[in-house]
Amino acid sequence: MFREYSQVMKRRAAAALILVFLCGAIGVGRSRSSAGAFPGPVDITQRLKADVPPLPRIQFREMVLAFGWGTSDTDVLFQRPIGELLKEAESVGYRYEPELAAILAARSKLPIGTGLTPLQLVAASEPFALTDPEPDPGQVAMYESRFGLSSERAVAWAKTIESSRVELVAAAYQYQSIWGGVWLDHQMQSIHVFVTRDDVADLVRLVPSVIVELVPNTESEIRTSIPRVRKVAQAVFNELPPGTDVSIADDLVGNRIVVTVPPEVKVSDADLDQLGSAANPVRVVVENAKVDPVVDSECRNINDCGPILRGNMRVNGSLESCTSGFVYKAAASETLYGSTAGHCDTTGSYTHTSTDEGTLTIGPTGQISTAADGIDAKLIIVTDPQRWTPRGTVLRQANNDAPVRGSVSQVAASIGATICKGGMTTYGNSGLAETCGLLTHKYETFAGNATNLGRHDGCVSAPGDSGAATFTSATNTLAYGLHKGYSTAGCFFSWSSDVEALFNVVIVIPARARQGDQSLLGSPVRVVDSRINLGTNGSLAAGQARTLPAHTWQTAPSNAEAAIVTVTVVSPAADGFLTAWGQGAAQPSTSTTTFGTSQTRATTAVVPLGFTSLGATQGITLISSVNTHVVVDLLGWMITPVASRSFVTTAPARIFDFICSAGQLCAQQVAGLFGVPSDAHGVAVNVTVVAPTANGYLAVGGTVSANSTSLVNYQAGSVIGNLGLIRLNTAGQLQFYSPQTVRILVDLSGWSRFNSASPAPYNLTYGSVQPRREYDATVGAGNTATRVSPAAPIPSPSAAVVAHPSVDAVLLSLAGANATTNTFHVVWKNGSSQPGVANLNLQVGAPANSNHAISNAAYVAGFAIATHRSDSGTNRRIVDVVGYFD
Amino acid sequence: MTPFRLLQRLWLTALIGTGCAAGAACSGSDNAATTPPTSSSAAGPLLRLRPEETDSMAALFVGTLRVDGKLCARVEAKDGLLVNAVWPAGTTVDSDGLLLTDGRLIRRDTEVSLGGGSAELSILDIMAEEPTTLALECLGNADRVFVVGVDPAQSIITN
Repeated sequence: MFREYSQVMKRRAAAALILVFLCGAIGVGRSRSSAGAFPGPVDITQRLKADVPPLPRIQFREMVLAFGWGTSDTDVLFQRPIGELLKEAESVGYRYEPELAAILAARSKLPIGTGLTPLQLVAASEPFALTDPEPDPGQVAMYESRFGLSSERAVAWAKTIESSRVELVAAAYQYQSIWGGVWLDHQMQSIHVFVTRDDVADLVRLVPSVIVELVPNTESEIRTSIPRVRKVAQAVFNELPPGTDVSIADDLVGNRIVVTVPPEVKVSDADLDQLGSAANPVRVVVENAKVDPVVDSECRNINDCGPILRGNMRVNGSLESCTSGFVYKAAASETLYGSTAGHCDTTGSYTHTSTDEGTLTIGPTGQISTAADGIDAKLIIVTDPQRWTPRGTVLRQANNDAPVRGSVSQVAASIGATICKGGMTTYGNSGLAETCGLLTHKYETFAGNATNLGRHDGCVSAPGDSGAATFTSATNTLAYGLHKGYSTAGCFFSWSSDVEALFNVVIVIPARARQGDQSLLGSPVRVVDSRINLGTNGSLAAGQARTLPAHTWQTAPSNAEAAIVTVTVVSPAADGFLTAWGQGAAQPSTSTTTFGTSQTRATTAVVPLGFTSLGATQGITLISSVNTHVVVDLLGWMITPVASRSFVTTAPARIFDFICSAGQLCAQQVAGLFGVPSDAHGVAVNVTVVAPTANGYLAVGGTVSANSTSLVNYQAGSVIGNLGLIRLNTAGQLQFYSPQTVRILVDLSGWSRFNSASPAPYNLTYGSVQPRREYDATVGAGNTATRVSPAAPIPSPSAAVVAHPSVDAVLLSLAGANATTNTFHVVWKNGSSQPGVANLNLQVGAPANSNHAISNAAYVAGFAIATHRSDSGTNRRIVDVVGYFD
Repeated sequence: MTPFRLLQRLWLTALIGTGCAAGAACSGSDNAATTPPTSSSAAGPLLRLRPEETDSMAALFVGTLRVDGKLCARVEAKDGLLVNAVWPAGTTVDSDGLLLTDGRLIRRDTEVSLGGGSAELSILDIMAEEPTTLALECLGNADRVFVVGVDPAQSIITN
């Protein structure tokens, strides 16, 4: 009878049962003070079994493959007696790995679960007794040593994991005929449940803190689908140049087919559709080939930092070895250069050797100074910038990889300033990555052939240090020059400003890693409108970058480091995307907004500002894939951290769902409610307009009117939202105005306050990063946990800021397309319950949609983790990380 | 000495070299009549820094010390290139190798790590003792030299 209900109703009912059960299990596991038998709610299990028929057969091999990639630091809990599993494995001819076999054999007396000490398990068919979760000393020691945790925190971790084990064992036992297996990832502190069917997956996805790994297909099904996918791929990619490498392979671990295309190839949703149809019922994903991905977080050793070009790493010529200086870019082209001292000779190219990568070629000498130039510098052409990642950073003692913030010219430099030099030999000899002293002279002659050098004392120099970056001692790294040598009088360097002038290059400054706090305008201000030549002339042409001089928009605060803007595309000529980034920085490979033909689409973004080599504010650059007009509304600035200001992210919550009548000013009180303090400065909210009857726009701000700029541009029948960082009015309200009657949803994700006398419970400062794509897949409904941060702490450029060891929240750019049902994406802190909000809405037949979202993140073993979910149907889900709050 | 004067000397040296090759073996005294060394005659075929020089460049050059039959001391790079060097003041050479002012003998065919830096020949006018004819002969037609740092203890390391 139950099966006669609609599928949705069945799922909801079953999910409720699971939740009831698991809540009970959690409560028991974490609150008992003494050992006791686990109360098995058999009746609930039976009802679930009635709802979801037992699996006819576990896909053992596929399960093991899926498990296999994480066998270290994991516990694997099988849902059936191990003896049965082994028999099944043998029956299908699977030759399991010796290591796994040994583990299974050693633990074969345990009918369920492995590695469960100190849990005491009895026969699988009997209710088993569970002791209180006590931390395993070995586990605690491992956490301390491996993750650098304090003893207290390591104990807390271990206890949490032991508690999770209790729940896992209980759940696996209860649902043994439904679940394929359970995998506990210690490092990520996550629980993976492997199931073989979509309907079971949907049930499990509703359980908090559990990640579902769907293993729906057998190896045979996957492999027999490949020829069909290959045939379609040949048609889809037939216009690519001859020789273009498109590979199609089975991914048995991921239980899917992976189509890999070159990095520059963009795959349309229609293409994805075709490939997906061909692969059905097997999942297919299309990935862009990666070019030697660099994991910067692994750069723990100054001598071993992989193919990232930066200051203070060893560069070897055929004759001489030196140290690298700053990274430069040609003023008139895209050519990138490393640098070192001019007296470092080679007859060929320079190389760098690291443990990870071996010896890699950087490139030959590009330009070199002569004695007549008064300096001693050389530029090294980066012949393969795709392989080398010129970072505009310098390896430093304090925080390893410090972004260069600008340079101090010879003229502007002050005698007495404290500056430091790097040097690979000095580091190798003494472990000192930088030695510091005072600038004593600005116009010095050294070794006869360099007559215009800077000189500083307090330094240590050794053979092999030549070319090393010389920079300010503060954490805010400013370039001074390239080390040349030493005498009893001190160390000498060629001014970086002279290098730029002589070779017509500019020093590479990365997007600022930290912008800090928000300074929001009372009302958004329109600063660019290409339709009327405001701030720029004419519409954007497809593929042509356009730089907007942000420093002229408003009287920007002197400490402004990023602009908070709503970028609106108006009447684009075709489906496309637009990317915004800081002037002078490298163009991200991600998009800021995605839109359909003729759609007017607004997206709020935080765009780091470009800076001159002297630190003066420049602007932002836009590029659109199609011809379009563009409007930019300025909401405020991200500024360097200010002690009196604070920003707090909240658990996402829907705070308003109301109708605002056409042409009416609607106000909603925010301050003093929903956990927002009464003296809040601004809020981070996602504002969504639901199914309006006509095209229009919605203005949102502290104070708005019919003439205000828009936060959301909507089309009739659409469900469209946009993130806003919006200043409240003096009454603590948000105001709304729309020319059409609209239903408005407001989801809160954070608030800011200026009140040093009443500090926030914690203060987060924002830092942009070069946007990077962390997730891109065409998948069905369900939760996906994604790493959204590197392990290394974000460098803090300001001594006033205490660097958090963790990332607390992230600013994400979400995009979705090709929805098979009307649905929404939501993102939230991994391990927390799914909030009742939406970050991105998708509609069947509608063009791709995008939005930004602020999400809290769980910090696990050096990584920030967020969970994202598509509510229903299948669609393409993209998650780009654009910034951090920490 | 200006670069122009240096080129004059190189040209002269070439003539002398030609003469030596065509006739009897050349000796130091033969050359002394034409280009008497202005400082320590012990420099012989070595290019050496002036005693008062204090500046040391900080590149690292690893190679093998070669001393040929004319006592020309060069350093052979890993790729086989022979590099002429300007040695610290007071360094002398004989058939065994280089004798440093700190008392060390760097034997020929020994791998050495040198601190210093490559430079155009004009550096000789500024940092080096006036070269002997023998030294210029050793220099041959090289257009660059490696200038070793002033302190041999820091700038000349044997493995």
